[in-house]
Amino acid sequence: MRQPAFAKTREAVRVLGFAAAFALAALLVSALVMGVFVGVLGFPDGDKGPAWPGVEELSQGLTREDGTYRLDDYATDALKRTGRWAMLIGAGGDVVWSESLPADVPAHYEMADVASFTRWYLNDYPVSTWVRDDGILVVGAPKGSAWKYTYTTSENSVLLSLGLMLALLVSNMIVAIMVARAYARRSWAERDHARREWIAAVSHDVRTPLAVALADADTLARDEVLGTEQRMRAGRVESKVSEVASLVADLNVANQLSYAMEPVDATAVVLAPIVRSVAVEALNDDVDGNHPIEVDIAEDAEDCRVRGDAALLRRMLVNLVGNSVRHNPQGCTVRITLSTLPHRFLRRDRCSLVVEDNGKGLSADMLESLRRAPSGDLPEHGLGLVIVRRIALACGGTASFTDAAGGGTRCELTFPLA
Amino acid sequence: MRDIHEARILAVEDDPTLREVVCELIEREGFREVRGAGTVADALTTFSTWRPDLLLIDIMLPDGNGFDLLRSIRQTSQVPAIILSARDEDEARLRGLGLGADDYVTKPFLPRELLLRISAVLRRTYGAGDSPRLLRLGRTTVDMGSGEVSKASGARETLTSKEYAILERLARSRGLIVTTDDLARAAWGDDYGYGNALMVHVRRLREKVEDDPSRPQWILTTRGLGYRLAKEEG
Repeated sequence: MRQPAFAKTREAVRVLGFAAAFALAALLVSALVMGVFVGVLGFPDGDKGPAWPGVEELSQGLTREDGTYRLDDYATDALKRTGRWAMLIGAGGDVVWSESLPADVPAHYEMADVASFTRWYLNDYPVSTWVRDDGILVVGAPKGSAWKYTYTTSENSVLLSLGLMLALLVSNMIVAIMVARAYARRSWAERDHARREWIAAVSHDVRTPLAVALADADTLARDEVLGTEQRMRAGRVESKVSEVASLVADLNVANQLSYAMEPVDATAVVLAPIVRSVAVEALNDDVDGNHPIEVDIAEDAEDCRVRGDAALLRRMLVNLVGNSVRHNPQGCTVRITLSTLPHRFLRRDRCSLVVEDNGKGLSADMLESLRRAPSGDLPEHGLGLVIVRRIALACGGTASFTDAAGGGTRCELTFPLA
Repeated sequence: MRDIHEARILAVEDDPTLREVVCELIEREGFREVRGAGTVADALTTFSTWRPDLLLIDIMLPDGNGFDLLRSIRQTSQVPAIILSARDEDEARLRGLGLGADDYVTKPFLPRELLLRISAVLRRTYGAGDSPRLLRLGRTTVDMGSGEVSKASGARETLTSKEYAILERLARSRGLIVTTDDLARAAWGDDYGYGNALMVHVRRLREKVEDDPSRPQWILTTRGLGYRLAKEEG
């Protein structure tokens, strides 16, 4: 019975693991996509083929010898190949050296011009600059080939954006968990549905062969031609087949109840006639008189109506009485008491239905498992009493199992009145 | 029909073994005319040519279901039907459909339970049949045809309709306890709120059939539950 809690933790761990794996996988996929882009298309501002040397490298290639500037072959080649041009603006603002300079680029610059083109464009040419001892080296790319933009931000926003990144990561994780949960829920619901249908189908199909077995066993048990021994054996087969049949019925009820908490045919059911009819049926079946049943229905409880399904409530009582009879073959008295409970402020009026016997009682194990909160799993034994509890809960009531004062079993059920 | 054992019974059940078992059971009980059918089509053909007096219908059939079979039979005939079902839910569905089935048996069933129900439905539908017309309570006899009570002293009294209904219900389950609710339903057609009225009618009934109404010998009270008509000794 400890299993359910265990299973829950395991499921939670599984969901968390799934979310982590999901986030990690998302990260990996992003990295992969980026890698593919970079590998196949190159960096956005780079060109295909050998890398563009960059303005700093170009500057190193520009040397001054005997008053004339000279650009080395590698840099010249690179400039030509990429359609770029270059110029060096001297201290006075005049262009002192240039290479492939377009006609629409001026030859003299004021300070304001320099300030402008370092930030934005020079006559629509995207340019990069490098400050040298002897002036400013300007390298221009063809018009429309680059998007130039300068970004300034406060120190605070840098911190803020770091925080934002973290928040994004966390929210990503949360979304991943939610997606995982939704997915898991749906697949659980599907599995539950399939299992429920399956149990219903099996409990249906098993009844026809059971009917044949029961009929044959009963016929043999009554066959005068057979010896006492054989008839006794046939009688035993009959009683065992009956047990299997009632087990199948219990399984079916449990199956119905475990998924739909509210009974399908809920109406206001008067309890007293059901109590009487179950008691009378048990009394009429009790040929030896070993299991007398006392019924005590308080006068004001005669009209007690409970919201539920009459067939289920009946099954609940049949299981309780049947349990007392079956577990006390030596005989016991079963007592059924139906009474209204005192009115409590702000609470719906309730009635109490107590079924107790003076037999040998339930084992401590069984009592313990019945006392525990209902779990999704069915117990290995005592399905009948677990169903009692389920039915009570499904009708908005409670069920508690205790040792009776005289040593037998006592089950107290309470229901809100309809 | 002078004897319910002359009734023709048609068992519609798709499982051949169970069909055979059911037919055998009914035959062994003394019914002489029993036939089986395994499908809806088969059942409809047998129904129109053989005209059975009672139907046993399984819900799950290979070419349809028992509900539809019963519905199409109900269009032309009010022949009594007992539904054999393998699902507890079917009873609710049957009621929901408003199909008049006369009884309902869930598989698996005990043979004697099925036979009891067959006899009960046949008696209810085709008259008293072989049920005792004279109810013997020691030296007192009650004519269940006319509702007349004859005491050993020669005194005669007639039962009222309520008293008759109550006694008839008790006699039908003689030896067994019958709940007050069942008795009220037999007398008033409703089981709710007749507790005191029932007590009054039972007292009057005792005055008519018991030798000493204050110490009844035949109509016995089971406290809090109902009444029982004692069986005759021997």
